[in-house]
This record gives sequence, structure tokens and C-alpha cells, in this order.
Amino acid sequence: MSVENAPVVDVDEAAIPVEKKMYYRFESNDKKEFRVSELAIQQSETLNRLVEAMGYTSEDVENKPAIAIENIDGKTLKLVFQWCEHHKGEAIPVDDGSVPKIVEIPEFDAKLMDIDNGLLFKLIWAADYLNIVQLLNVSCKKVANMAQGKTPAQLRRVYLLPSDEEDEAAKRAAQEAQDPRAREVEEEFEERKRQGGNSFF
Amino acid sequence: MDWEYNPFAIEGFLFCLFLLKVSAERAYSDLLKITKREERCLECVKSLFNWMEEEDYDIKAGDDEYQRSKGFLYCLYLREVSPDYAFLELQLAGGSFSLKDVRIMFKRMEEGKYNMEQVVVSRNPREAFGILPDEIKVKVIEFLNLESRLAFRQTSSKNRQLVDTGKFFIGDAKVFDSRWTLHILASDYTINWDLAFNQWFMYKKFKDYVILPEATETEVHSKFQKEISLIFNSNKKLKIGKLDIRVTSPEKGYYPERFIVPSANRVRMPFNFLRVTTLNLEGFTIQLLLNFLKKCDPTILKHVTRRSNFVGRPVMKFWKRKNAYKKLYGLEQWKNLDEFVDKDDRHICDNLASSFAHLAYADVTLYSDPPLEQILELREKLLLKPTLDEMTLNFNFSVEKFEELCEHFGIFNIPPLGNAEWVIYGYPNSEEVLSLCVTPHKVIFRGPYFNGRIRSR
Repeated sequence: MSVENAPVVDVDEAAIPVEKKMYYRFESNDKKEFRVSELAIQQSETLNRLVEAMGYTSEDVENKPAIAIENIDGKTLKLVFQWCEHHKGEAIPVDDGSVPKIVEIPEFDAKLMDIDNGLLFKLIWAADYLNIVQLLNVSCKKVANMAQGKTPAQLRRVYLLPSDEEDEAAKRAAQEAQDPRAREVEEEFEERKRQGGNSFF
Repeated sequence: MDWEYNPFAIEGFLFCLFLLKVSAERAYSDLLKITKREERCLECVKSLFNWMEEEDYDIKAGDDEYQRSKGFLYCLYLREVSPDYAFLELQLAGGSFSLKDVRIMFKRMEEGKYNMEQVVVSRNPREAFGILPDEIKVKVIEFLNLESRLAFRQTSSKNRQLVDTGKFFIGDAKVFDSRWTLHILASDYTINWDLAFNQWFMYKKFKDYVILPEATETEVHSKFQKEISLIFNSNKKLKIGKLDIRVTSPEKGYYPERFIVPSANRVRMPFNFLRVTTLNLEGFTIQLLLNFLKKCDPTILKHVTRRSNFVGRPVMKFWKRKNAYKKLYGLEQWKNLDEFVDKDDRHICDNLASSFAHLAYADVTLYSDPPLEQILELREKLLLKPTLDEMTLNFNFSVEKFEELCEHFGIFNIPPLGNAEWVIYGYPNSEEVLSLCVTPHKVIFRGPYFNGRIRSR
């Protein structure tokens, strides 16, 4: 398997497969369409329940509009479905709550997740949203590996973690934005400024 | 956009240099030329090379073979070898990249698309760790090793809270205090303080020595204490498999335990609440043992081994020791123990049956000869405990006492004279047996679980 070209799920304009398998159509929030096999969908508890509830036939899949996944963009969804296709038919691990969790990142997954960290965090978010247990495990492990040997300052840089002061400032700003009195005062001040007043008082 | 170096790729890069028999100093300088900033200190490279030599380093270990192999190949690429040769070298080093993979990697390197970078770090807060909800952040934290957890909890109070409330397990931990050498090991994290040439040095695994100029003994011990507290006390859900604590007094009047063991009137001390299964304690008097056990979760603590190195310690008065042992046998933690080994100190015990019958394995030395009735009572209680492994009670019997026991049990054992004779008792409603042996210095009970049926010894 090549390093650059990890196996690609039949996405976008891929031809309908000849086999008699059912391929569901999904649409990302940026209107990209994907075809995903029934077996691959079983890796996602959320999607599996959804398609079961819909009870689509092979004709429905073709004739009805693609199932929209509102919260995930096309780039992330492509990775998710690539992962599901590669791991289709594999048993879904049950979280028994044990710590430390023993999770190995297979070579395919390592290559798939060789992406920038912004996309990686989106992938984690998507794995959680679609309830894909093993993808969530490997992606969380990947993020944890990024922290290895880092100092707090380096961690802040890698993860873009705000400090306490930045957190506090953001919180204050959010509170002020929500406080109607503060907003009124601010609007009044802006109004006076527009009218040419030098001082608020 | 910015980028960070991948630590595993750096490791692979250094592994390649190691196999090429490059010295640690040269490897350090080669790495510095590539990264333009110090990603690994000289001391770290030296430690890593030592480790590679001693531990038979495996490029496949863990789940970062992919990144290590890339770093390994990058090192060969910079040495201008062909992809085919690099493939062979990687194969010999244990890597599993195919020739096609190696060629693609070389092409990427030629195009300047690979430089051992970790990931492209986005500067956009909408693409940062912060977008993840707390429950996923906790999942990520569950995968962090101890060193990363300690670093992560220093980034902000919110992250500290996340680290401190998530589950965590330390399989093996050691704490050692001998005044001039202080050492903490917890899983793969180690930190040491050493006094040498009248200066304190601090060092961590794979990190440079740090000299602590003008640091006093009290300051260093206070740091040691804080570190213990941070590792073992900050997370209430922390579980520890095995904890070894060794405190030694290099000279009279020094009591290292004051930094480690909580005393009755000082509650906020290191090891304030421990969820540990196996405890190995060395240098603990009975009072210290008592105080320490009180801080352990009684539902989790199962095995305790104690060695009492009392050199330089004042001897406790008899009545104080007696009182302390009485309190020990009354502790919830004691009553829930499965195994207790304590050969060095002599237990002052009023009633053998009520003090020891609950243990599945015990090896203790007693202060005085118990009356025959107490041994018989213990036997009766043990016959109600079919999970017994072995119980050895060490005494120093008087000749009269030994003769009394031999007469009662109908056996006469003097070890050098041949194989010991055992008296056999059947468990009620069972085919299992309890064996009893009396020698001039001990009474031994062996139950159905003796010799590795529960545990292998």
C-alpha cells in the first residue's frame, strides 16, 4: 500500500459497484456526496441506527436524496468513510472502562491520520458524533502521542490551549456580550460618539 | 501555520544514526543541523543511545512504527543513499515499509514535503483542541502517559481539573528517600535528586541534569514531597498496582518518613489517599505502618510486605508498640488484607485467631510464645477458611513450650534430623486438607491453595 495513496473509499462521482451490495448515499454539510457500503456503515452506531430506522430499499437509495450529515464537512467525512470501508466487518470494541486502555494504531490508520491537527480534531469530533468507537480510540491515541515529551509551553502551542488569563478574558467577553445593560451602555456610548460628543458623561 | 517535530520520527532518525555507529555527540549535532533548534538535548541523545544498546530497541514497539520508519528513512535520505538501499537498511532494522512506500517517501523528501514534522499546527482556534467537548478531551487524556499528564495539567486550571478527574492507573511505582538521594518512579516517569559535591542535582528520564544552585536540603525535600503529592494525590481516581516505598536513615537523628508518611496531626501530607493493591514498605516502624495503612483504600489494598530497617531509629517503648499493634489489627485495611509478610519486626499480639485468621498468606514473627489454646483456636478458624495458602508464624519457643506442642500434636520435628512431619486436618464437607507443622521456631499452616493454586510463587 502506498504511503500517499491510502485506500480510497468510492466517493464523489464513483461508479455504482457491480456487486449486489447496498451502498448508501450521504451528503456532507458542504454538499459533497459519498457512497458507503452497508457493512462499512455498521462501524458507526449512529449511522447504522439511522439507516435501520429509514428502512431503505436498493431503489430508495438511488431515488431518494442523499442522507444529509449536517455537522461534518466533506474533507472530514471522506476520512471517516475511508476508515469505515477499511475496517468493515471488524468487531466493534466494547469499552469496559479499564484504564490504561490498550489501543494499537494500525499502519492504515496511522497513514490516514497523517493530517494536520485541525483536521485531526475534526475527525475525532466526527468519530464521536457518529459513534465510531475504534476510530475515536485510535484518533484520541494519536492526539495523545502528539503530547509525548512536550513541556506545558509546547503543549499550548501544539494544541492551541488558552492560558487561564486568556480563558478568563474570553469568559468576561462572553458575559459582557450577554449582559443587556453592558450592551445598552456600549450602544449609548457609540451613539454619543457618532453625534460628536467627546465625553460619555 | 506552524509545525512541530514528531518525537517518534526524531527517535527513528537517531536510531538510524545509532545503527550507523555514529557517536551520541555527533548524532546530537547532526540532529541540531536538521531541526535548527534543540529538539533533544545531548544528555537525552546519550540516554537514548544507551537505552538502544541495552534494551535491544525495537522500531516496531508501540504503535508509532510508521513515524519512526519515516524518521529512519529521512536520516538515510540525507546521507544520499538510494531508496533501494534504504529499504534494505530499514528491513534489517526491523521496519515493515514496502519498497514502494520507501520510494514514495524518498520522492516526498526530494520535493521538500517531509522534514520529520509532527503535524501542521493550525493557528485557527476553530481547528484546535478546544473544539472538542470535555468528555472527548478526557478520552484523549486517558491515553496520556504520566509525564504528559503532569505537563498538560500545568497548561490551565480547566485542563488541570480534566486531568485530575479522569481515571488513571500506575502499574508500578517506587519512592526512595535516603536523605541525599531521593527518587520517584511511576510507570515510565522517573525523577531523582542527588546531592553531590555539595550541590543538588535533579534529573528526569531522557532529560539533562539540572543543577539546583544554593538549594538547601529542606527546599529539595519540599520539592520531593510536592512531586509525590502531585503524582499520587492529585487524582482521586488514580489506582496503583504496586507501590514500593523505601526510607533509610543514613545517620542517627534523620527521619526520612516525615517527608512521606502522614502523621496523626498533619493531615495534608503526600500519600493522603491511596488506592493501591500491593504495598512494599521498607524502614517503616509499626507507628508509621499504622499511619500509612490508614491512608489506603481498604477495599483495594490486598498485599502488604514490610521490612523494618531500624538503623539509627529510637526504639519504641513496649507499651507503645503493643498499643500500635492493637490498633493495626483493628484497622479496616488490615481486616481486608489477603497477604501480609513481615519478618523483621516482632508482632505483639493478644489473640492469634482474631488477628491473623482472615489472611490467605502470612509470614510474621511474634514477640512471645502464644498459649496452646490460641494455636488451636487459630487452627479451628483456618478450617473455616478454604482459601488459605500458607501461614507461617515465627516464634522462639522455649524448650518446654516446644515439648508441650509436640506432645499435643503427636509429632516431633527438628529440621536437621529429616523431613518434617505434618498433621493433617480435613476441611468440613470437603476433600481439601489443612496441614500443620511445628518446629522449634515456627508453626506452619498450609491450606488448599498452597503452592500456586491461587498465586504462583
